[in-house]
Amino acid sequence: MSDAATPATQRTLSGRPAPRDRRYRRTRRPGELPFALLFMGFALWLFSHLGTEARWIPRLNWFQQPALWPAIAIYGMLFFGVLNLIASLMAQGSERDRREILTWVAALEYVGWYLAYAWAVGQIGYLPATMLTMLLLVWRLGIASRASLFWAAAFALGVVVVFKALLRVGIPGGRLYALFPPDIQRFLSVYF
Amino acid sequence: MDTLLSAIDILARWEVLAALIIGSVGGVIVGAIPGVGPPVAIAIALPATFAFDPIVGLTALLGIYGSSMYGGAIPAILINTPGTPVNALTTYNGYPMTQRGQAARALGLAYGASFIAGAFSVICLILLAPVLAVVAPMFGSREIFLAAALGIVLVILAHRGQMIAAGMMAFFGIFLATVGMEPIRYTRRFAFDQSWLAQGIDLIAVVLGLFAISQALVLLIEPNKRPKAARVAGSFWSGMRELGSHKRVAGVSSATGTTMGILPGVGEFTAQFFSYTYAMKTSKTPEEFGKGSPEGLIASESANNAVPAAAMIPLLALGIPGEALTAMMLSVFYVHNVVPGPGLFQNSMDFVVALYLALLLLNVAVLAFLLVSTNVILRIIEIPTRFLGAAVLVLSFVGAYSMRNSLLDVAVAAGFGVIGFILRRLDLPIVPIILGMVLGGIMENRLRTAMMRVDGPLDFINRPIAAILFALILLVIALGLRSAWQDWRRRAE
Repeated sequence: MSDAATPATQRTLSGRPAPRDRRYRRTRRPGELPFALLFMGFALWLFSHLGTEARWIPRLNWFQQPALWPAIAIYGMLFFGVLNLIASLMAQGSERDRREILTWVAALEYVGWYLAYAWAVGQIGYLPATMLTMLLLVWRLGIASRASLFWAAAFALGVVVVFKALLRVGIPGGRLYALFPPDIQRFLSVYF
Repeated sequence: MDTLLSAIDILARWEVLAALIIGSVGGVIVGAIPGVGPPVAIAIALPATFAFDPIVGLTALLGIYGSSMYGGAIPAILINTPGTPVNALTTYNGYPMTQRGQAARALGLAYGASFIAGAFSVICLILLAPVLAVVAPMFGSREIFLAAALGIVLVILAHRGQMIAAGMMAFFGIFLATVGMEPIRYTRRFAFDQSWLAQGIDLIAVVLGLFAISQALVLLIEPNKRPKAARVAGSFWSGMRELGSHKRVAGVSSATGTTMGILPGVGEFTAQFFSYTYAMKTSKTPEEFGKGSPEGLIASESANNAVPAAAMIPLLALGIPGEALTAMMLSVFYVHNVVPGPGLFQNSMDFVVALYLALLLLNVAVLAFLLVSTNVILRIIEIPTRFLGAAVLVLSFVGAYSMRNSLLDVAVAAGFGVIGFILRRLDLPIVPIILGMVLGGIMENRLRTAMMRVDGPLDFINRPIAAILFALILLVIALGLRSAWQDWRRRAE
């Protein structure tokens, strides 16, 4: 069958969509469809809680209703979420969704590092925790060299001096500081 | 004159001047490092500024905001990698000039164009301030509600090709603003019986997560890169002098940047688009655009540097942030119980003028710094990206934890970091979440106040400014839909 005889919506022999069909066949980014589904799922979950988690109070003006703005927001999320899902479904599929999701999961390791660092600050103090985190991260990232370890330690010291000693940002001393004599403990708590 | 003297008096304090210098030098540096950028730096610095007077904190943040685009031009021109996203257009003409051995000329043109635009927009705004002082009080609750609604519409429509995603994110932001205790009847909304949710979701934690932690995750996950930039030889002055031959392009681009900056939700990209298109259409050598055209370089750099000062207008005059960075700055006002809006122009005009003068000084300081330190900044560009990721991750902790010394805030910021990471990976917009969160709260409060004073829906727009804003919303939606339809047709053909 010649190309001229191919119906517009039918695929060509090469497997590519026929010209009129192409407007619908944007290529999907890896991870786009899973994200669209996740977002819709989240919006639907919020919608299912709209009646219980936000109140409509009888005999109160509509513009004063506590549930008005959550409802506007959730209906907006649903409206745009549906459009986004349709657009994703109509696009040409990606075979790399799984790999992309694994990348999202891999990022959680560093979220773990971040939370562990935050916990360590309360235990061993801001300076030791920052120093330790920077040095271990540089090692974990595979960029450890004498120079990078030096700069990691210098950076950690600089951050603590700038934020805690100079700007006096409110970060309490670590529990470890309690092991020191009172004067040293006070000094460490104020500056490090 | 009294206002000006009072403004100078506000500025003439060592803390303000130190904030100005630290902010502007810091802004140039973070702007020059690809992968950091002003949102990350402002998100990290924000909580640290709460300890200072509003003028000191705002000057430091304005310093970062206003100078980052100067710094962003350096890697854009020298290594074809924009330091900040708004410098992307600069690569088109800046990098080809570097390839021809004209790096100093390109940097001179970029610095000169940025300075002219920055100074132009500040001078315009100082001249405009008395007019704003008269107009701003005409904005009551309904006008501010409509202006915020216009901001939401514009931020969605300004994301051409991504309007649906921008809409999703804007409404998600509006939803986030509603979580917690509602201020009139004190009922809980979407708290799920959790006390930490009943307090609401903190804007700073969201900002830190979406901008700083997410960027750190991107840098940590992606392969390590170490950009290399050759030293710049020669003087920048010839490029700056050449600017005199392109006064028209610099002037029009600066004016476009100033106008676009004032409009909430529009910002640098639209300003650059219009300026660049104008420069190309009116050029005697349009074929040079994209191959090292000085006019193209001037158009992109002037347009983006005129925006920061102008973007302060809706924030100061109406209390409505036009984009993510001014939304972050809004929290500095809130922390100090200063309410930006019409009252600020009526009662504290000296404060407003002081901020504008600080912006003017900032441009002078940045230009002087760049003229002597460009080659030093090149060393900073060469920091390995993974090291940078670790540094940003560590810095992100300060802001999240210092708010209330709560690990929960850190966990919330980390959660939004993951959301931001996924959005960055998918190339989806983040800014609409922040604007939705800030403008959503403003709209809710203003609608309640405004509706108490009107009898019916039509009364809502029976004042001239309200009617104009309402008509603008309809017009912008119609134009946006038309342009989306035309884009779709063009792609189909």
